[in-house]
Amino acid sequence: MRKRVFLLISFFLAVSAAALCRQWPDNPDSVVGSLADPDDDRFSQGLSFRAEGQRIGAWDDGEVIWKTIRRAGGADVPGSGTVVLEHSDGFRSFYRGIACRPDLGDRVRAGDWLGYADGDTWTFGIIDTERGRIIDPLTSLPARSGSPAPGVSSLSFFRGGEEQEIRDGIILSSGMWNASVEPFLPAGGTPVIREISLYWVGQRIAGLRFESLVEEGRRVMMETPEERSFDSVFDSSGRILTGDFFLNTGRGVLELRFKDDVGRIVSRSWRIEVR
Amino acid sequence: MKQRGVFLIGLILVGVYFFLFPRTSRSEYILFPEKFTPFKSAGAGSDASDNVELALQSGNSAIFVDKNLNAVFVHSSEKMAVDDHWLADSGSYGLEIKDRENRILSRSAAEGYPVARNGNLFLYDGAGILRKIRPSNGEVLWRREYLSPLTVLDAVGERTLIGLLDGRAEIITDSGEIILSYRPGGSGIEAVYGGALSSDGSMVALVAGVDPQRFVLLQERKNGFRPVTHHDTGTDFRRAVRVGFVRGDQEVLYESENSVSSVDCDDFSIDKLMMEGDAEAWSDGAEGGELLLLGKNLDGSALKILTRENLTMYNGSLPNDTVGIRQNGERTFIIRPESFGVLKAAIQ
Repeated sequence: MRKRVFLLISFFLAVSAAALCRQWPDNPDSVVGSLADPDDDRFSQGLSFRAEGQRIGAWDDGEVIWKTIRRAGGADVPGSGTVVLEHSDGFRSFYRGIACRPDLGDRVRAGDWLGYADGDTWTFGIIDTERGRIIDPLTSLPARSGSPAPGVSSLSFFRGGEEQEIRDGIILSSGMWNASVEPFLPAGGTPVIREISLYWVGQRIAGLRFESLVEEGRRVMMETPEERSFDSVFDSSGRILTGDFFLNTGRGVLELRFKDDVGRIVSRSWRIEVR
Repeated sequence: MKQRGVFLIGLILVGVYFFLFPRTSRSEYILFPEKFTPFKSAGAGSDASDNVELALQSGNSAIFVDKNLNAVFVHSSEKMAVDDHWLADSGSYGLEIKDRENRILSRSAAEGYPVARNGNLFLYDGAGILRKIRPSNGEVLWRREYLSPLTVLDAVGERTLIGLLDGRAEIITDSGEIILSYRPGGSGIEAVYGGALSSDGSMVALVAGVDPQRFVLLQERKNGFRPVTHHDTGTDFRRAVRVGFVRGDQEVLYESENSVSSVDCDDFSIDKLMMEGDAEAWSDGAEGGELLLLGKNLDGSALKILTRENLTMYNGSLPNDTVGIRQNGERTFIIRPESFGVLKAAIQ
């Protein structure tokens, strides 16, 4: 029994130590975008930071397996400067949009300087090579503090050519609907929405979690946890689509909930009638 | 008896002299500059676009030259790809493709890094999306999105070779069909660092992995591509590695430390071609099978010319800022940041 307790404590200590050694590669207050944010016609593949020429550090101990070397005749591989590190447990971290440190060695410790932020923004991402996914970096970083909570700007239901903006007292017809959500992102920091849920008279009828990105066929899909394409998560205006759901007849409260990266839940509700 | 002995010793000495001492005509292979042209706008020299011979790119500048090596037109852009027949430029307005007469062929909203490979045009957004584009009209032939960083991009005809840092190599046809999906494996760290297609697209050479880094040659058979030879390269590159087929696909070259390794595509023998510094570029356009290697180290740039049998014909230094070489018929182009020169060979 004692041995089991000792092993359990050792395991948790080891996990905690590993988590503690992981560091933010840049100032958390410089985050300007998160995993799966709309980026033109695709999902963003990691956390985006404002680039002001600042130093970028390694997320964890690791081995440098790729660095973009600019040759005088032009880069062999197109794209911005990138450094990729291989870590234990099958993780790889990438730092895209940085000017690589010229004397970067093959092995680095957490926090070691990798290069300078280049351009307007740079991107940090974590690849789980064993599962073939890009995971949310925020789940593997120390929690942020001080970021404002997201809010709900508007919610609309649509089907076919019909669209209804939700407001108190609205009367809808029952049946299959999809919903588009426009979050309100206050200034003074970048809130990150991790989960959206839509409740109708206390029952969850639709929602999605921004979990990870996976390659499927010729494109990248988001696991919500079911795989969804970019077009099925964002509309052309960048509003978030919850996916199809069935709306039963009744009168009551329609509630929309956001969960952000630090676990805060924000909700907004409307009293509506469905006939 | 004595006379016969003297005769035999004389014969042996003649043999030793013949085989051991170099038979030289006291002639020397020399290279001298024939022409020097800055990357500047066309002057009065030529405006006849029919005469455009080829295009050269150096960093953010490209120049189209005529048969007399006069500039026909010059173009500069941060994101640009150049072929002998067209030029693709990507900016905030999207992708613009021009022919070699500087006329616009197409314009589209897509943005990214244009890449030219043997007459094929690609647009990579730098973050996973790769499009193949028909240069004549800007049509997108296929689009693919990857989670892994792209490390290799080569194309011949309708075939495109893609290498990824997650260890995959793929060949995609113009119809979007994947005809090869291969993982070289065999290394502690899986990644593809270099790769090339042969001129007919039937062979693929890859440099992949770390610990150890390995070379793999695949040849197309009736039932698809099969690895025909592989070996450890003895290198430990963690960046893009140059790989290319030369001499009519008889050999494939890949970068090594202070050398270029040459693998024979028939008997798979390996030859190390020593050079000054890292291999910055190579070219084998000459009909005689000569191979030009451009090496670069802290001391400067060096050009080495090898015969078909890999014997050194010439080994000399070049201006420190030389960024590339290109063999075009009898001419050897030396590309520098703001200019190019043409070298001519002579025996003196």
